[in-house]
Amino acid sequence: METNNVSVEDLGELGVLNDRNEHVKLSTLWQGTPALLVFVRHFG
Amino acid sequence: MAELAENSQYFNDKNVTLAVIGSGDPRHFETFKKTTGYGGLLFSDPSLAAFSLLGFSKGLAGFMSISSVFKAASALKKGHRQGSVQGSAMQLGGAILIDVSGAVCYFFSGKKAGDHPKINELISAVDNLQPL
Repeated sequence: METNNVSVEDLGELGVLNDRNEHVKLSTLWQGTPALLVFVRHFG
Repeated sequence: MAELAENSQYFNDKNVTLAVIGSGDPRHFETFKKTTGYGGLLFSDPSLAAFSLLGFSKGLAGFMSISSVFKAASALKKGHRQGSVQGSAMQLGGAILIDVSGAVCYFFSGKKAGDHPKINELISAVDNLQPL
């Protein structure tokens, strides 16, 4: 499996914006349940 | 994206948090949902920091490949029409499945526009998750 030597710890420290424009720490997405993150080129 | 939208319930049933992350303004989330039929979690990474950390490609070579044109035409033929671009058109995407221990169980990085993780691969990766 290709992994690109991903640092999940570093990824988890990053933040994204939700629909209320609030900052959400990525690591919260895989606390308690696995998380499948799909990154799309654009919203369109 | 349409296939992911059609199968999003499967991931819910498996107790997997599914999140789609783009780079456009969150104001466009509703349009994205209407266009794709996806009703799950949506986030934006306008700085592209997560895209960059994951090594997802950014550049003209990936954007302008011939096969990406054929994929776009094929999707259009199936009725999946791409809306206006909201976000970085040059930024390619990918996917990562992370279990609760922080282990990477699946990783996909698009090499050109139109590349996306196959839905059967995502389902298989979720099916292979080890219970803690």
